[in-house]
Amino acid sequence: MTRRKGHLPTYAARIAIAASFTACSHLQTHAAPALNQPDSTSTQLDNLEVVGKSTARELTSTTPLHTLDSEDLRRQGISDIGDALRRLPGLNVRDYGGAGGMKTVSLRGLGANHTGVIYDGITLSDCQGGRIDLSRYSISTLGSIGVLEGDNNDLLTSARVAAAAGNIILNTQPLPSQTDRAPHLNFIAETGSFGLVRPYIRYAQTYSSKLTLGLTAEYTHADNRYPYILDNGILTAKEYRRNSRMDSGHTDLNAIIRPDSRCDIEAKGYYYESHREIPGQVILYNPRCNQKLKEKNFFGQIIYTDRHSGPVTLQFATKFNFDNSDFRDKDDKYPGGLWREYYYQREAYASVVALWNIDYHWSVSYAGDYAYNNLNSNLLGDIKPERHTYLQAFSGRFINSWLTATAKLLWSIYDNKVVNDASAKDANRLSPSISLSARPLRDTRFYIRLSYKNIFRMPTFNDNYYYRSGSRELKPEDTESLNIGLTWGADPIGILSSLQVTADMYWNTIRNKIVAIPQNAFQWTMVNLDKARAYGADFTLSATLSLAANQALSCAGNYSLQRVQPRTSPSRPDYNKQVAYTPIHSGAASLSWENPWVNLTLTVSGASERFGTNSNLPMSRLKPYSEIGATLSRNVIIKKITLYFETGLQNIFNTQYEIVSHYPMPGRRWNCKIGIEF
Amino acid sequence: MKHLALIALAAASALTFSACDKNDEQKKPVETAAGFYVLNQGNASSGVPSTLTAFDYESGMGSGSNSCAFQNANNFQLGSNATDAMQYGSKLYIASYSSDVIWVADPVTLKVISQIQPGNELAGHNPRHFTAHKGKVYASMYTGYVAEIDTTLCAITREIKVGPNPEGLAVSRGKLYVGNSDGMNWTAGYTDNSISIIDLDKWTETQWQDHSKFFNVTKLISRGDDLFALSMGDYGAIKSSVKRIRDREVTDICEATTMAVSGNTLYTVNCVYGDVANSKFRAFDITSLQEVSNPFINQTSSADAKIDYTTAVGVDPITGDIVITSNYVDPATGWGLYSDPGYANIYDRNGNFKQRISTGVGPVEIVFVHSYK
Repeated sequence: MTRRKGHLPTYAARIAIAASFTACSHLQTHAAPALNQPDSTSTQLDNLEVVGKSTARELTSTTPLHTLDSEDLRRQGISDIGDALRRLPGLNVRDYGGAGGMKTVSLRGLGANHTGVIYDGITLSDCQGGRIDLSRYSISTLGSIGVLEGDNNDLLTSARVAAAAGNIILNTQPLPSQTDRAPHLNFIAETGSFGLVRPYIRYAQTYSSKLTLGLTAEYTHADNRYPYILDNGILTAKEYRRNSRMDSGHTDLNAIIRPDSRCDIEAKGYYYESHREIPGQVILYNPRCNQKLKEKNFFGQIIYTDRHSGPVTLQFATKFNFDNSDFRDKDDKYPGGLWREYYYQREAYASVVALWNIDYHWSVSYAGDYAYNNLNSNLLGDIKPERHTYLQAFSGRFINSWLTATAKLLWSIYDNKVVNDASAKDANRLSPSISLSARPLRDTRFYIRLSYKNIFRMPTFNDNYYYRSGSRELKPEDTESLNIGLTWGADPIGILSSLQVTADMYWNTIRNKIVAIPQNAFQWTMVNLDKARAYGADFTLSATLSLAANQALSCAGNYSLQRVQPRTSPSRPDYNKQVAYTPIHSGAASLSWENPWVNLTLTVSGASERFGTNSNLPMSRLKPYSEIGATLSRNVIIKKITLYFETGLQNIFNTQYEIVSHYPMPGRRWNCKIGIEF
Repeated sequence: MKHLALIALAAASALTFSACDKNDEQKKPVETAAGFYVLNQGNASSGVPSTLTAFDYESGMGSGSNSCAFQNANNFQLGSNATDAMQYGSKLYIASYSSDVIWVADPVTLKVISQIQPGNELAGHNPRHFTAHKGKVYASMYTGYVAEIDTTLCAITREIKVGPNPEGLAVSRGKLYVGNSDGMNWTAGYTDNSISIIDLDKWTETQWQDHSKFFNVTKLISRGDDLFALSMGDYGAIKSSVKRIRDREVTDICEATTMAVSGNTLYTVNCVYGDVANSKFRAFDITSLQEVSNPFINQTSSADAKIDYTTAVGVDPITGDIVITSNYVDPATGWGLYSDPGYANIYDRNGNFKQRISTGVGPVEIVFVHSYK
């Protein structure tokens, strides 16, 4: 699974004709997420029709797949990663507020630990806590962001992709194509409320038919000292978020090497560092907070794709990842006045995928993965846990004129080790998934899809080994997901140049859910205790009206219904209530008018009430909210240089709300971007 | 006691911090039983604030699971992670640990008289527990201090450094004993836990550490020349137990996780994590240390008479009624329900079950309120 560019121009040409002018940049920006690239031209041509390519893949995908490419991100006025995640259906974002606030996502009630994150083709790992903080990844650097539920009809994917119940797919801005030899520079300066300053620069060039290089650097500073209303009866007052300043930066070097026309190597080196003050929970009467978090992440990865062997495509990938986090809290209550929690984790990873397109109808693939993870931390005592992971996936796919059917069997072996100490339980399991998409009417892009997946997640190293509370006896947490859905892409009629609708219903169960049980005020223990079930529906709609030669009105919306019920035991007060921090109704919509003067986008997002407790105690209730925003933007093209201006106002009505209890979200805020690109 | 806060209508009142006008020690009232409060810690990580449940003997009414007695009286909240409440003289003192507030309130109406915020000026902050002696209230501060509160000024007048993370405290033979838990040093096994002994006249402190005799003292009760100490152990191999301390001589009484003393009786409850169904309720004579009853409550008279997961025990000094607070336990899994409301069971002095009332989330302390005539 890699972001291949080779075949795209052909599709691009076709799409460009059919779609309105807005689609043009769609194509060039190569928004295609890693997973969804066609495996090969021959077998996939029938699925790729008129509209944009990501659109086509969303329609024909055998499991729910939704992608926002860079054009969508721009057109829908998306201001940051938290905002982008709200525009994707089925996701519940846990946002601690502001630019420096942690943002994790849970897909369809399964929990953040079951939701993988794939960054430029390879899954990000966190063996410590198992949740990826998406606030690290800024929108300016992204070429696309998407979500994929289960395993779909793309067979050229690593086994690790199948090891998560669902995946968030992040791809950075694509490099220039093989034929484009011009140097490309992109510089964006962004500033906004609460001391936000974010410069971004990228230089990329194809030097020869064999080599393309790109270098990106980005820096973010924010004070995040935003106001909020602290609700406390007659003492209700306006307060400011304190101890909230952040600085973070990342740089990456990307290369595509093409030894010949049938193979390519994509290499990436990445470094990220952030220094954040952590404002913590708002505590009544006590504003003191001295928490700080430093994080460093380095990785290098190489993906080699080989198409020399006729119908067989081979892909080899390897990655080394180093991650360090260092949390400090200064307070006299701690020994020596300082509490420190540091973690160092390393990962070495290698994978191979072989895809054989046997004939027009049949394809099979084998994917094998090996990963080595280790972790050391002052909170694991003296031990240094390690894990060897061996994953193998066997997949088959059948395609004819009206049906795509895929089956996959994942064989997982997890081997835990601790030098000179007992290790956590190992696992050796088979996990099946099947999915299909049928097109009942020959000339209509109307599809019915059905999928089932059984998967589990391993306990994290914190679950297993955290000082005193971790348990080595933990079993994996099991999930089953069932999805049935419809997708429809309308043919252009009159001014309606595109219309796409998806509707999916799902039924998920979670067993052996790993939860922390307090023994008393100081002691916790991890147990496989809870059961939950989730059912719901996701709807998306996007449409573009071509109003005049160079004017278009487009809208995009998503709505999710999520019932996530604790089902551990009927005698518990939370039985069949709604799992904490999960809204039953949530959604977002945008309306944008593109024109030669100033493009205008209006956005709205919101969620119904949530509770901080599984038993939905009224005292822990969080109010429903909706946020409305507006963005103005304009491109000015002077010769080959594009100047880009954008200004936005988010949360116009200054709605006060919290997603996580006592972590207020920012109210009204503006931002302004100036970009230059050639 | 018609005015106990739960039945007093919540009128939003202006917050007035009037200075206290009399020294509590000089008042010699005739006390009659009025009711009790249950202090509920809440559950900060689930967004549940600390609350106060009020129960009025006369009306037989409790404020129930909403437990908004403090909020109703004042129209603002108690704060986060409340740990202790104590009535002394004509005032009620409540510690909200995370909020770093000591509330001084009228024990009957619950109207706040003074809000003490130690962390604003002093090294000692984040209050944990109280005791009182000769017109002064002493509060342990989790940053390793004990503060002296003047009950007339309603302000901290001086503070003294003690060991790490002090918890329970009591005055015996004119000296203030403080249990230093070293609770924040859990990664090193609480190794620095000790008892601080403060000379109240000289305002000096000495530390006493003898891990073979006591380990992690979190509660101290003074009776006569004796101290009863709850030695919590290390939540592992070292078990939680009750000890008698008499002039540095330590006598084991029994394994227990909480205790109360009333009259000549020491009440202990041993509710051990993982085995809560077999909790022991044993009472001892405080002089002879002989067991006087086991169990001291009858849990068989009805389904509600059974206690699931004891969090605190208290005995009304006037009526002798025994009150035990508890979390609910899910019968199917055996695990306590920590982010849901708990309850308080009331038994008469002979241990016969009288009544169950709902409390807020995480009941931690019972305070008996008396009226004065």
